[in-house]
Amino acid sequence: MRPYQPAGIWAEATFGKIRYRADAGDALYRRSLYVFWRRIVGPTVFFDNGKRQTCVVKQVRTNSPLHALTTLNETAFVEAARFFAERVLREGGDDVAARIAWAFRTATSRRPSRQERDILVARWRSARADFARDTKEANKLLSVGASPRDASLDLLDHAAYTVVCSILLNLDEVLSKP
Amino acid sequence: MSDVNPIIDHARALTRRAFFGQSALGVGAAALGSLFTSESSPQDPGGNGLPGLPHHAPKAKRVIYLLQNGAPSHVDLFDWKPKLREMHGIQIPDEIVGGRRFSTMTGGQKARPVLSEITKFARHGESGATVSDFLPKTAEIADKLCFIKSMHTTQVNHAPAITYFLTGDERPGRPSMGSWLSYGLGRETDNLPTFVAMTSLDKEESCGQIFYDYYWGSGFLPSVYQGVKFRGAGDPVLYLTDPPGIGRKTRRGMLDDLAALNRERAREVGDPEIDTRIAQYEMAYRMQTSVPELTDFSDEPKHVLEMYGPDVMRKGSFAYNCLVARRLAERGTRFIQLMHAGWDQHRNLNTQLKIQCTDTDAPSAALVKDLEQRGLLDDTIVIWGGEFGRTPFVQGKLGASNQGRDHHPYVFTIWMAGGGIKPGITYGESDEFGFNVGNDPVHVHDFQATLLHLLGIDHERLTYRFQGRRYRLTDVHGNVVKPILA
Repeated sequence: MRPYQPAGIWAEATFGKIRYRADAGDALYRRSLYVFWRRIVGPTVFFDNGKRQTCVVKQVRTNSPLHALTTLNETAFVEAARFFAERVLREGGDDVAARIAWAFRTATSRRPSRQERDILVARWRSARADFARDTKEANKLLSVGASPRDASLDLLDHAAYTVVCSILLNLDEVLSKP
Repeated sequence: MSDVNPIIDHARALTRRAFFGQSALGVGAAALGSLFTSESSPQDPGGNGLPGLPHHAPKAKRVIYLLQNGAPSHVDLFDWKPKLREMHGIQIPDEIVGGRRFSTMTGGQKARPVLSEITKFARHGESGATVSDFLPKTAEIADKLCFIKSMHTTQVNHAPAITYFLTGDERPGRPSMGSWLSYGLGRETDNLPTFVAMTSLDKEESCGQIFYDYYWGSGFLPSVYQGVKFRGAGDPVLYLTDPPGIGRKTRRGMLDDLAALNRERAREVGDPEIDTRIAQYEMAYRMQTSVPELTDFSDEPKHVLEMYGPDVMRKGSFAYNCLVARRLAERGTRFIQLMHAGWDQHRNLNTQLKIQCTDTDAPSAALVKDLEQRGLLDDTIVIWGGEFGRTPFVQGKLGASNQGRDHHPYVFTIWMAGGGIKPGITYGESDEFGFNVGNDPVHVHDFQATLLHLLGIDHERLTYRFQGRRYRLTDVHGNVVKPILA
């Protein structure tokens, strides 16, 4: 499959001869195991992977600013946070504390400490208040990626949980621990 | 840094986990544990460099490598050989060729008539350097440059030859020079990457060699040392912009929460990589401000912009990249690898070389002058050169409308300038045909050893253990070229 990719990556590497076209529909959501590789310029969203140039026994764990920018800003990662937030609203219980605890446990396989939960609850409240002042921003965030959002969910709740889920998906514990 | 050895790494991790797992040992163990982690693992990989480095006082702090992809013709630009004019059209003598091999493009060509230089040469400056009239701006600064006219390599094709220059080996997979430097010396700025690569094309896009991403790869070194490729379109750095709907205030808040949560986890499990991750997220945040500022030329005076030539405002052009390179150098980036394609004139030397020179001459010279005016040339090394030279004989038929020169690894010219390098000299000589090294040969590994020396590194002592042995940039070769040192 060919995932999202910023314009011009292949063109720049091939003197404009080959242009990239991302897949549409279900193919976009297949596992990255199936991502297409071009030898001269690999996928832009992979880290910790073999570079396919030499034999690698054990991968080094990437820990760089570029990695941070990717997992915070790349379309598929933001879209994943959006969908995680949908699940939180549907499956996570009835109140904020329960939902945050559910999201935390789903991401890390453990329950949050009180302190951890409080940090995220405070972020949820503050993000929700910001989005309430400017609902256009909430709509923008929830439009990242090719798939539509479930419009039956409350806009502000959904956007605020997306912020919280993006934080969770960027925790060291979630990114790089077995 | 740890060896990339799964058994040792595993044992280390086990020790640490076991240590913290035994809570019954209580406070004493925890205190000992923090002592243990802070001594065995750097808190900020990529930040501090290696203990004991630099090995000696450095002459330069940073490098700007203007790599001319495709191989500029030394005999048409720098290495003036009157013999070529004299022998024009006559078969190059066998004793000069000496059974040397060529690329498959001329390997089978029996007739190898000498091709005279295609333009006029003159001597320039007090040093009397020979530069052809295709490069008038370079000629003006000849007294600031050190020409090495006896470069030679073992590689006859582009990608292996470029890889050889950048990594010390013709096969992909070794760390590139910029990665070695980042690994050894650490970084000078917390706001921008330590190793940046930029690429540009000739306007005709006539003979482009692909820019493989391993040209700035970190090979077997940790990926934190790999070059950051600045793109010629869109965001200079991939995914630099926050997603729609996430304002700066929200982003800042998210990062504060991430840091608080990660810090809590680090306290719990004692993994120093978590502290690193916190630092890297903060650097990513700073780059979101520092990179747009870097590429905003609105604070550049008009006379500076004019010096770089008409393409300077065109994103992704060689001139634009040269100015970005100066701005990076000012802001503490250590290795700036600027690659420009289009020098591979097999069959269009007479038509294209001049165009290619026009596009690159002014920006290259402007960069040197600009650095000098800002006092940066004293501790910045600028390198201009290709991966090999071009044959003194013609490729194809003499007098044809599409004639040119083939790849030529046996001798060619590069120039260097700046920190620790003697200005206004020419080192080494080719033979009277510009075919073989005449005297003072400089091999690619010698060039690399010299570069590391100028940066305060003994090339034999900067090593990394991988797959059971120690590797270095210069493999088991390389001698510092002392006569070019200031």
